Amino acid sequence: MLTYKIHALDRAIAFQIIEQSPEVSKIMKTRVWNEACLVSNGWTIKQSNCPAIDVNNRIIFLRGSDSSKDLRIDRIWDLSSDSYRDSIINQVDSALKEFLVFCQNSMFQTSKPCDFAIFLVEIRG
Amino acid sequence: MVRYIANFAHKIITRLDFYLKKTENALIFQITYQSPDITDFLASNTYRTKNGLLIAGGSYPEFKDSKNTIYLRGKDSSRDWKLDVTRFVGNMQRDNKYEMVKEALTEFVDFIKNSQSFSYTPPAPVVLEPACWFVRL
Repeated sequence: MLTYKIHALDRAIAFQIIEQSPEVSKIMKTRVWNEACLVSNGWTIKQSNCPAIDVNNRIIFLRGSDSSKDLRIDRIWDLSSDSYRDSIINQVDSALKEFLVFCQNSMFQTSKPCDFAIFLVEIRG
Repeated sequence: MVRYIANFAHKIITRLDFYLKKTENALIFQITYQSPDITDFLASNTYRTKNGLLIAGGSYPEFKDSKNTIYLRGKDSSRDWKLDVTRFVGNMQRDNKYEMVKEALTEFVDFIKNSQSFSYTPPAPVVLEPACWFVRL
C-alpha cells in the first residue's frame, strides 16, 4: 500500500516514497477529515503535490497531484545532531506505520460490511 | 580526551569521508569530512580519473552526471553538509554510476595521499597536561 525509504545521513535525512497505491488517495479523500490524518505522536499525514517532510510543523506529505514528482527525494540537512535525526526518523516511521494500519482498517471497513450483510441474509434464509 | 585523540587520529588517516546511498532511480551523496590538502589541491586543480570522471572543487558537494564531474566541498562552506541527489532513468544506470563514483573517489584519495606536492602534514596534537587546565595565579 505504501513503501518508503528514510535514509539516515550525517545530521541529515532523505525521504522517498517508492510505492503508493491509489487506495491511499481514496482513503485520504473519503475517510479523513479535511484530507489530513493526525496520528497519535502528533504528526499529520497529508497529500499536497509531492512527497516531503516538514519537520517544524510535523507534517508528512505523501504523493499528490504532481505525478512527475512521485519519486522525489526530500532532503533535510543541517539538523542539530544525529540523535535528533534519529528521533525524527523514529517519529516519521511510527507515524507512517500507524497511518498504514488506519488505511488497512479503512479498507476492511469498506469491503467487509457488505460481505457480512450477505452472510446474514444467507443464515436467515 | 579519548574522543579528541580518536577524532584526531581519524583525521590523519582519512582524507575523505562520504555517504553514497542508493535509492530508487537515484543516488544520494554527502561529504562528512574533507581534509585540507584535498581542498588546497582542488582550489587550483582538477583530477581526471581512469574511468573518465572529473574531480573538481566547485561551490558545494555535487555529482553532475551530465558533466561527468564530481564536485567536492568548495567555496561555499555553508553548504559543506549539503545532500546531493542525482536521478537516473533506472536502477541499472544508478548502479553503474555508484561504482564509478566510488572508484573515482578512491583513486583520487590515493593520488592525494601519494602526491609529494600535496602531502598533508597534520599539526602536532595538543595534549593538555592537567596543570594546563587550571592556572594558579
